[in-house]
Amino acid sequence: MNIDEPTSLRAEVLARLLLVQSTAAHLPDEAAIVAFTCRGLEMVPGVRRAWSQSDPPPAEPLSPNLVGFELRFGGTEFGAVCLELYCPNEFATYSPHVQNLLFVVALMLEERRQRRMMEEHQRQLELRIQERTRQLSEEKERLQVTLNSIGDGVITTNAHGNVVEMNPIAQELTGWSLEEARGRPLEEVFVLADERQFRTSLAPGARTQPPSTLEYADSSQLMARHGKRYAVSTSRSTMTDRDGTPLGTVLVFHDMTERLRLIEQTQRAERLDAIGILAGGIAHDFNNLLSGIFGYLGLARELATDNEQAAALDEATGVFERARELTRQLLTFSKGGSPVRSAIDLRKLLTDCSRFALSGSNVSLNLRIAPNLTSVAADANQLWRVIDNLIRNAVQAMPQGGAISLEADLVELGKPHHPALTPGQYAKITVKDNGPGIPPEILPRVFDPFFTTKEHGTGLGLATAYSVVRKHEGHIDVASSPEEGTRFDIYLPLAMTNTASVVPPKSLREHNGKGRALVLDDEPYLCTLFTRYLSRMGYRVTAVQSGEEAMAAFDGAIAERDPITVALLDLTIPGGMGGKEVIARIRPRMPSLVAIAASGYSEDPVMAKPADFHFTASLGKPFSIAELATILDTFVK
Amino acid sequence: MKDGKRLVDLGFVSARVPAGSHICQIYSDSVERDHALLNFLSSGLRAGEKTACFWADFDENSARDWFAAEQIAFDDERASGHLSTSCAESVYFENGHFAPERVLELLVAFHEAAIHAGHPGARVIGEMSPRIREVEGGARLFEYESRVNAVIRQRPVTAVCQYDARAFDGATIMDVLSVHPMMVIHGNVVQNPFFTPPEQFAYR
Repeated sequence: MNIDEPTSLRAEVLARLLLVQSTAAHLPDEAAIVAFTCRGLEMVPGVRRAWSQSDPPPAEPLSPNLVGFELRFGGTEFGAVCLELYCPNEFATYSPHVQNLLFVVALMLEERRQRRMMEEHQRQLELRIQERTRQLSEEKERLQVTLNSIGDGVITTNAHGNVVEMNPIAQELTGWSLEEARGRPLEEVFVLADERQFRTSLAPGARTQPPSTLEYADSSQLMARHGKRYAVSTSRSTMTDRDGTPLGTVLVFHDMTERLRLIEQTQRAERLDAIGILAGGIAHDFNNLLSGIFGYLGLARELATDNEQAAALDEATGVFERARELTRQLLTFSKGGSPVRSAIDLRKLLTDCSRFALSGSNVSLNLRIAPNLTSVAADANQLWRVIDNLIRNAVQAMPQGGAISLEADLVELGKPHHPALTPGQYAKITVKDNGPGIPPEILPRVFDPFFTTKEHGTGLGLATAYSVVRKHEGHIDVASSPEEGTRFDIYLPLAMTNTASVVPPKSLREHNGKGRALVLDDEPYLCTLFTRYLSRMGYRVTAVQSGEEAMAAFDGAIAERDPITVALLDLTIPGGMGGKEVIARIRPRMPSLVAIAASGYSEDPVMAKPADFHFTASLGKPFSIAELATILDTFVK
Repeated sequence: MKDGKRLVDLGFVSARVPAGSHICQIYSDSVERDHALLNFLSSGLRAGEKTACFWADFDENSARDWFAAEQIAFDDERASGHLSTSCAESVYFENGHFAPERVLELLVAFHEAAIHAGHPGARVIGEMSPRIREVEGGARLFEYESRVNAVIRQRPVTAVCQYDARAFDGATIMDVLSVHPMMVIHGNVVQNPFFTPPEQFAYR
């Protein structure tokens, strides 16, 4: 392009005005535009000075040398541009062009005003968006924290039933991470084994009514990705927008596994307690009956003159021994027979017991006892019986041979492991075999009394073990699977409550007595039997069936100056004063009285430590005349 | 071609102008400024001219990348003296003082160096610093710009002066226009009807 020279002054002025118009549009703000324009107008012939003002120009010119031009577009006023003229006539030629220029400038100013308003509106909008975004972010953060904090699993889906969000509990229970699960169908991530699947895909445009948006399932089996199963209670609700259009679903599920386990254990404990009370009552009465039979069998054996009769009675006595053992187990299982705890060397007990129980078997033993677990407070006899029973069961479960693991550890239970266990230190004894396991349908019943799968089993072994552990304020758990065999975990509290030792058994002796003896038993036939025992030893016997009668007999004998020297006192007299109360009252007046406690509850503390209860000795029913004679011969001077 | 002068390509407008033109560019954003600056320099280098720029806040690394995309080795051109880049304030102000005479001498020396080195011409583009209003001698800005017109009649350096419309008020912008015979507006270079020749400028 060639640049030509200006052709005339008029053309040059018009070109200047056009250039002002073009260039002003390029300037950044209204003030710059107006100032630029004013300075440009000062180059118009006839104009000495140009300036702007915010007020509109006066209606009439103040003087011929002073003119004002309104800056106005539409209804918007932008003030005025004023010109001071040194030659109004020369300016008059250009006045219409200046008028046009200032109209265009007013248009620019309006455009800038509009642009500024839009920019301000945009800024306000952005501020609102920022604020709303911040609020949403905080809300999302709060929701996320809430989701992550709650103890239930939560999964949300979109309207197509695909996973959108999962909290950590849901990820743990399902075995899916959020990254893996996101976008997958809910049915693939949340798999129920025994319930119909939730219908999670919502038809577009479907409407739901609020009352029907919740679906509950109290007990379902969730099959986690890693194969584990959880008992879960679930609820599902549909999320909708304001118009009722489904947006997705929220699935909330609670892991009921532990709760159900505790409920089951509590129910089992209650059931066994009830059975124990029943069995205890029956066993006690049965034991008394056995005592009578046993006693009279013994007497008959002593009176027998015929060898054949004697052999038959010996045979009957042998069979009777088995009945007596059964009754003892029943009594141990029942509510009676509190353990007599002492500090026992657990290492020695487990070593001796396992060696004894495994002798002659083709089962190997892996014994491990934590070094920091030296002793526990337990009834050695009862604990022996429990461990012996568990090991023998394991051996019987592996007729082809196998391995048994017997382990003991010191554990700290921080939170309730079982309703019956309080937090604290426990000895945990584990007996584990690698046998075929216990079928799942049988497992819940293994501790039930009289439940057995063995041809000649009594069904009291595990029931007794359960009872013994419970009476030690402990707990026993069983877990079993075909792959891993059967495992029993026993928890025994370490707190010491008693440090008594077990009285060693004595060899049987005969006894010749004299003087007066008292028999207290609520069963008439036992009164008769024990009277005959003592009479045969040479005593003059008074038999009573209540504590009150016993006290009267003692008082009468003292008054007659022919005191009772030997007393055989039954501990349990239904509805009245028993032997324990009687001896507590009479002992201060008769310090030399030989008082024998008799009871069917062999684990009763009185039986284990009779001296602590003012007795001389104790005898567990049923007992033979020889056993009574041995005790009396020991203590009667 | 006017007055027998060769026409040169400014690089950022379509029209070609006589060598030794003094052009004003009023810009309102840095993209517009940088576009003019880089294209002006690259077209000068391609034409074999000795080329210089005074920039205020230009990113040298970005410039290097830009020139590389244009197949121009930025550092090599600088090392050979074909291209010189300087901070605008260091060129215009010395010890916080603006002396038109010194800057004009630099302009003359720049042209002589170009001729001496065998360049067919010389060009310079510079951004005027808004600090001109504050420094001592800053009031002589328009005198300086007017005298540039006189100098380049003898020393035909093609010069583009960049002014930021956001940094100078409207009246100053109009005054700037009055001392540049040509101006760039809306991507076109036009003759400036407001131009006041240097002989008349002193009397206004």
